[in-house]
Parts: sequence; structure tokens; C-alpha cells
Amino acid sequence: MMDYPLLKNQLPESIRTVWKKTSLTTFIFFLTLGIGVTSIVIYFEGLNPVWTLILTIYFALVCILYLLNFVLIKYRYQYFRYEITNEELVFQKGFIFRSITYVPFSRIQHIETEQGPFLRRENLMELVVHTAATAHHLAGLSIEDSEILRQSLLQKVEEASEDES
Amino acid sequence: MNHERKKFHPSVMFVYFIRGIRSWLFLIFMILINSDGISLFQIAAISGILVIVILMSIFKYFTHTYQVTPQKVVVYKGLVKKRETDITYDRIQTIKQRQWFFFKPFHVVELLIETASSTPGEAEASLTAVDISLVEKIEQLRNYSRTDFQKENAAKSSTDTSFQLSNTQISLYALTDMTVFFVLITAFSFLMDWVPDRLFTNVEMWMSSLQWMISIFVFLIGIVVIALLSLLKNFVLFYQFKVKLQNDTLSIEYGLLERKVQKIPLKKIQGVKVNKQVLRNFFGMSTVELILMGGQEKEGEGMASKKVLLFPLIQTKIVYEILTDFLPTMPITEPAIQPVTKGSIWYFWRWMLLMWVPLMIGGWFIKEWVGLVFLVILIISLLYQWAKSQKQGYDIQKNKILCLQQFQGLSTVQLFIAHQNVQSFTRSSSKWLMKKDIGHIEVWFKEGDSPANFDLRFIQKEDSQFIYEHFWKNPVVME
Repeated sequence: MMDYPLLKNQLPESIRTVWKKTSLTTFIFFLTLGIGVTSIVIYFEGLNPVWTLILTIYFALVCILYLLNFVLIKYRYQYFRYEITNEELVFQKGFIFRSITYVPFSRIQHIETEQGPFLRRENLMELVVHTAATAHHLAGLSIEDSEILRQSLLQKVEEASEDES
Repeated sequence: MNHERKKFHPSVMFVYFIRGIRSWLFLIFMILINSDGISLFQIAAISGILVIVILMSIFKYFTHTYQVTPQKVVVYKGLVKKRETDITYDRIQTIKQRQWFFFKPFHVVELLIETASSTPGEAEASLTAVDISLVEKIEQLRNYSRTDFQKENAAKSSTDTSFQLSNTQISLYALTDMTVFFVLITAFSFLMDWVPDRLFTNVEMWMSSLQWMISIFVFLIGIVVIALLSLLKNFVLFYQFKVKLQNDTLSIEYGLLERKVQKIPLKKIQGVKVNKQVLRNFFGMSTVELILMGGQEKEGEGMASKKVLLFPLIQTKIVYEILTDFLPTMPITEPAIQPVTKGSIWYFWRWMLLMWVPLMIGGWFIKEWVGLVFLVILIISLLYQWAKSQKQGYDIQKNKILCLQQFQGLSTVQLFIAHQNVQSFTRSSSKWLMKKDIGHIEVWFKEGDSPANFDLRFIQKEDSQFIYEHFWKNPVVME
């Protein structure tokens, strides 16, 4: 783990609260969906062994995935990083499945900011960087930081495209 | 020059009519299929549809108009809900030209103008039936709007570089076209649903009396039918296939019943793929495909592939040389492929083994033949993965061009992409692979209107580091 290179910048701590809430909401959604389907099945044909098996697997999967997701938030936070170098924006994610993506400034087409209810509560903002082919998300920067980053990126994009032409 | 709004040529009504009928085809089919004889209701329903389609075609003829000004092309649609599409010349990616056979006597063509950002599957502007002279006019206006730098370049490269596909080559292409098998299987399974069972019983009885002689005969006939179908399809598609480089625009022209001309400015080319399909490679032939940015329209393509083929078939030994002539802005040389997957076949095999071995064992307990089927699938997948691992490789060329080689389907595919056309570059691995210094690299680029990627899997860290440093970080500068 020591020699695994980590990029400079981490997201603010409060993003973990947002991730926890999102994870919980998703869990509740899929749980409700499962309960809904179960009620319909019981109402129309009763629980036969096949349905019992299918629904048990479904509920088990939903719980396991939620637990995993919840437990891994700490790790996700630790290994979800970014960095701005002289020529490019670098994104890092994952500890078990690790990846580092490099996006040169000159390829950035536009930058979007998004803010859902959970992010708004924590005063955070999501920055989405689009190239012609890909979109990269930086979920949860503080509003000031995201504004500063957006401005500096826009400036670098401009400089980079001036250099290229 | 006259800049008024103009109507399309009246023959456009016929195009609208055909397209209209095509969109109602399913309903017409349903009406016809659902009874034994022809009833009054059916006649009335179909006449109703015909009247609607004809009226719509006439209505469209009067309401769809266009305007070509020195600054832009404008297409107007609709009467109640009006739509106006403006396209300035410097935003045009490609101009495609199509000519149905019934357009020929009137010297009329359809022009499809595409820009980079787009609604998927639709050309930004379609000038459905315009005089052939308009092509020249738009081309002139577009050239005029370009910067001096590009004009200079254009002047330099204005040689008459051209390529033509001979009939023998079309035949060879057709006879080695493996997609025909899929078409035939689909057609066959469709036929099976329609032919009454009685026929099969008769055929079976007849077959068993003549036995294997007949089977072989039927098999041979099948092959001949496939070959003929493929020849027909490919001649309709590639008849008199010509590529020309004029100024800095590639112009590709092809088609028998519907003549298509596609003009591609060199700077819009994102990359090149050289496909060496197993059968064609046997004849020393390759296929070259262009990766373009922009909305590639799909309407009316029919049998045509959505790929933009620069050379459907060309001798492998001259392909790299000729590519340099055609793409002076992206000089490609013959790659010295560096193989990357030394001794890591296990990584390509592990998921296959994990998935198919338990299925095979389980299948064997249910029915022996199920187990055997899974065994065959396992062997084929292992062979396929082996081929994948053997063919993977890369080469970094002068002038910042990266060549990545993969085995896809039944072809060895080489992707050539310049640094400036890679949108993002990803290096990935997992906790465990990293300990063994193994990882993946992936380049993302834009193809048509959607993102595309190309990767090398399970390669050594030193290779991925080399690619990162020599291609991505500090691109090799051309001498």
C-alpha cells in the first residue's frame, strides 16, 4: 500500500455524509421495491417456493450490496482523489480496482456543476468535466472550491487551446 | 447569387412517400396478415394509409424549404410547429451525398450535412432533393470560410491521390464476408416459423431415403446461396467504390442502386483502424476503416455498414504506404508491434474457466450432451482468449501516433490514433494485480456521436509506463 501513489487532493470530509445518505436512500428504494413486488405476489398467487427463493435472493443481495457500499465509503473517500498538473486534470479512484485517468486541458469541452438535495445540505457541489468522449465526476467540492476550480480550469482550457491553434 | 428560400425538387415527394410507407409498414403488414382473404376493411385501411402518406408527402414538399447564404445553410420545417436549423460552414464535419436511381434523370441528389455535436443517428440537416450543382456551391462556400493556414495546407496536398476497388476485389470481399452467415441464420430461423411442419416431415422422409448424398448436396447448395447473396449485397453496396483526396478533403463514392458520395475533411479524422480478418489475411488483404467525429446518420443505410471504410479491401503489404498518401496529416508507418502479454494467458482464461467449468460439470449431471455443449463452448472461448492474448501489442510512432493492436471477433485490429485525438487516457489495475506489476491501459476517443475506447489488458507495468511516458506524457516529436 505504501508504494501506491496517491494524488494530492482529497474531497472535503463532508462528502462522506452525502455518500452515506445516498447509499441509504438507494437501499430504502430497492427495499421498498422488493416489498412492493412481494405484496403483489402474495396478493395474486401466494408465495410458492420459486418466488420465495427469488425474493430471498433479491433481499439478501440488496442488504449485502448496501452493507458493502456503506462499509467501503471510508475506502472510497481515501482513494477518490484528483490533481491538477500543468497540462492535465488527473482523477483517481478505487482501492481494490484502481484507476487513474488523465484528461488534458485542451480536450475539455465544457464543465458542468450539479447540486442535489444532499449535496446542498452540506454546501457541496459536484463538478462534471466533459470531453468529446467522456465525462468525469468530481462529486462534492465545497461551493467556493468548485467555483475556484472551475474558473482556473476554464482559464487553463483557454490557454491550452490557444497553444494548440 | 440568389439567397431566397427554396423548395426541394418535386421528386422529393417520392422520397417522402417511400419513407412514409416504410414507417407504416408494420401496420400494413399487420392488416394483411390477420385474415385469410382480402376484405373490404383491409382495402379501406390500406387506402386510408396511402392517402395519409400521399397527403403528408405533398404537405412536406410545400413546407420543407432551405436557404443557402454565404454564411450558413438554413433548413426550415413545419407549418404549425416551425423548426429552423442553421449550420455555419466552419461547423460542418462531413457532407454526404446520396442519389437514388430515380433522382438521376433530374440531376438531383440528397445532401446530408453533419456537425460534431448532434442528436444521435440523425444528420443535422438533410437537403433531401437539391440540384447537383449545389454541392459545388456549398463546398466553395465552405472552403472560403476556412482559415488561411488550412488553405495553404490544402494547396500543398492537392495531388490526385486516388483508389478504386476492382470487381475482383469486391468479389473477394464478398466471398470472405463472414457477416453473411449471421444474416442467413436469421433468415433461416425466420423461415422455420413460417413453413408448415408437414413440409419438414416430408423433407425428412425424402432425405432418409437418399441419405447422405442429398445432405452433402443440400449443404453445397447452401454454400452457393450464401456466396451469391453475399456477392449481390456487396456489389450493390460497393459498386465502383472510389476514394479520392482533393485539397484536404477525402471523397468516398460508392453504390449501385443508390450512389453515395461522402466528403470528409482530413482534420475530422480521429483515427484509423486496420482490420486483418482471418480469411482475408490468408489472401494478404486488409480492410481500412476511418474513425470520424460527428453524427453519422443511420437512416436509409439499409444493408450498408455504419462503418466508414476507406479501403474495403487492400493488399496488406501496401496498406501503410498508401495510407500515408491519403492521410498526409496523420503519417502512419508500418508498426513494429511490441507484444505485451508474455506469460499472462492465465489472466485471460481465469473468468472463462470460473464460469464454464462449473456449468460443464453441472450440465454433465443433467444430461451428458449438455455437458458436451458447454465443453465445446469452453474450448472455443479458451482458444479465442488465447488468440486475444497473443495478438495484443503496441507501437509508438513518430509524430505522436500510437498504434494499439487487439484481436476482435475474427480480426486482428490495429488502431492508429494521434495524441491530440485521445480524449482521455486511463491506467488501471487491482490491488492484487498491482503486486504482480500487471495492469491495463485504455484510450478514449470519439467515434461518430458516441464515445469509444480501445485497451490493452493485463500488460506489464513497464509497458504501460513506457506508453504513458513516450506517448502520453512526453510525446515523441517528429524529426
